[in-house]
Amino acid sequence: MAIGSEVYVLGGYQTDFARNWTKESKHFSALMRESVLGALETCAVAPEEVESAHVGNFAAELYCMQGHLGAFFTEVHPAFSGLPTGRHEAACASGSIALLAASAEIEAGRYDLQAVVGIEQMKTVSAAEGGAYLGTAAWYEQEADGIEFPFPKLFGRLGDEYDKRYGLKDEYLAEISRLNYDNAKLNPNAQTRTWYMNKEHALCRTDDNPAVGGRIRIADCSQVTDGAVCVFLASREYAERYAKGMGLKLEQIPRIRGWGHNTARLRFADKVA
Amino acid sequence: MTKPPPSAADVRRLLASRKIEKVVVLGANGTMGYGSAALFTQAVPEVTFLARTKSKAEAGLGAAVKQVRSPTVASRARVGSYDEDLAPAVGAADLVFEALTEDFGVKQAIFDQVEKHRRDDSIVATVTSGLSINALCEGRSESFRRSFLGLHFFNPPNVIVGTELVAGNETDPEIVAFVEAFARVRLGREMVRTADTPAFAGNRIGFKVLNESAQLAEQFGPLLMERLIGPYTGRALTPLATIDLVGWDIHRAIVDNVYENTSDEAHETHKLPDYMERLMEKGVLGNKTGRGFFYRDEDKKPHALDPKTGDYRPVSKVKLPDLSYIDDVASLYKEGRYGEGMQIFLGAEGDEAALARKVVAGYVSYAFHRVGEVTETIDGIDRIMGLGFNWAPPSVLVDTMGGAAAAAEMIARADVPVSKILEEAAATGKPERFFHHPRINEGRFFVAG
Repeated sequence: MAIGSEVYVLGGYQTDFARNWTKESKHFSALMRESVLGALETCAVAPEEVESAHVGNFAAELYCMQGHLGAFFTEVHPAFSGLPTGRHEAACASGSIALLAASAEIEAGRYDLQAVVGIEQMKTVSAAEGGAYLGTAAWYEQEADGIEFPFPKLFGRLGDEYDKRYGLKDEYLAEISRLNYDNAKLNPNAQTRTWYMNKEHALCRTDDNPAVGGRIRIADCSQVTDGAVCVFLASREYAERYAKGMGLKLEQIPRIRGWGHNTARLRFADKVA
Repeated sequence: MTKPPPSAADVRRLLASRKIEKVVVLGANGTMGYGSAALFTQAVPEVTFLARTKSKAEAGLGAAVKQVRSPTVASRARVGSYDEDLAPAVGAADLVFEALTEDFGVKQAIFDQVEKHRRDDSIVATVTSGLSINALCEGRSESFRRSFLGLHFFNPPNVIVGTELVAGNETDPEIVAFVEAFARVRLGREMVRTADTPAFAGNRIGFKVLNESAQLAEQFGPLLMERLIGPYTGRALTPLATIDLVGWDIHRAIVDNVYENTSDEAHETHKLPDYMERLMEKGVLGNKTGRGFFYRDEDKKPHALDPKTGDYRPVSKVKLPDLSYIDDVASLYKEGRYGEGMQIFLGAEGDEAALARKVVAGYVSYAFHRVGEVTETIDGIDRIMGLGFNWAPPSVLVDTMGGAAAAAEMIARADVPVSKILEEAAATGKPERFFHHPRINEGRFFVAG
């Protein structure tokens, strides 16, 4: 494998994932604008310096009746007009592969400064409709069509398979929920930071914690929300100049040390075979 | 000189300095009582719900379980009555939380009981939104005065994180610092220290805007006022709908308290309109009585009050003037272009836009005038308005208008006093920005609806 430029992560900005942008009557472009402008300010990057942008998004066509998301990046600032941009989709890994693509271009020496945006607006539709849209990350026709909340059910099947092979107790799943919600309380941007949760609740079997997919209950699920993140990736050359300008040592700027990329087969049966 | 916030090491030391394992909530059948009790169960293993009778306390527990949608509240709760259980519960409590009705005499009576039975090292907190902390502990023991403070959660506390912390003159600063750290870290609150002044910070400023809107509704009608002081001015819920939600009686209690006990530059805006007093005598109290500024008939058709006559007419029959500037602002907000939207608002022509600007100018002016009186800096006011009322903080409005000079010009043009802070900032150009909270998204306050 050829070694190209190192890729540095200058920083970024995340919107508050507890916000419901539909309740605020906001359009998809508002999410894009707030995250990108926030990142520019946080990182003290001038819009004119950005050479390209990659947008990761799973299903805006379904949730927002909107495609061509790379072009939405160019709406954020006049300096972005004409910028080379594009959108990547890989279900839940859409943001990750946008990052991979951007970093590959930096390694290849094509660009020195890239913006990468991960963006999703999912509270535009009812839970049932949204559940069906999420089913398009499975083999829709075979695994989701006509099934209510197909994805939690697939995870339920995964839990059953895991249980068959290795054993799986409900209290382990509840402990994962407890840990996640406890961590959320420490994160000022977390969707669930004010939600009521404890291990006992995650284990309770009342209507307050209904089953949504076999052994999976609502307390086990991360629930859909709206949000956007923008980060800046830079080549070593840019990062050196950036560090000097910010009064930092290059070593203080995070660097991507490695990556892995693996796409599993689509159907559940093939995934666990 | 504002004290710097405590360091992480200070916070850890504070949290380790005492245990909060038993909390007693007095008045646990009321909204703030059971809501606060539910909140405490998130971090405290034993929360005792007390009320006048055990069945009232049980009802409070039921309401708490329903509010946070978890039966596990009950596993952390005990229930009891004042007569049977106050003495032992308060005697064992690390924190006693008072949430009885907003009546000085009623609270004094319960504090008499608390004083008799509490541990010397326990903390006593009141959720009062209007009574003076110093007045409530006057004449009590040195131990009580040292351990007493106001802990004003907003309703409902499982959703609204803004919280006012009000120390008495003799409250131990270590106890204040502990409660601040505990509520912030263990209960997820946004803590704002305020002075012991009428209605503290949030309600003092928020209800000025609400009451002014109610006053203007007499001349201009509720529908027009709701539209003019609508989401585009930085709020999800419009002013008169807010009064209907809060309850006209609560609104009256708050504004009367401020009107009678303060004399600031906007004093008259706290005077309850006569028409509201008259209608309240007829049983109109807002949503809890099914009728306020608005109501829906059996066919769910919305009706609006005519303050002059006291009658209601269908909203569909009320004609509003051309307010297309609001749609223009909302279109820009929809795309996240808040500064551009605000410029449309600042430059919109017509008497209605001018009226809207007057009320918004009044909000910003009133807030900045209260610095030094209700809080040390504008920051506390910003955080309680943003995370207590869910309104655009005054500093966010100033920044979005384009800075102090633009805000000062807008306020002066509306014939509202500018405030020394804004005048100075306009003259010096510093600070360039007033609001500095990267983890609070300013955009969330500008609703495009």
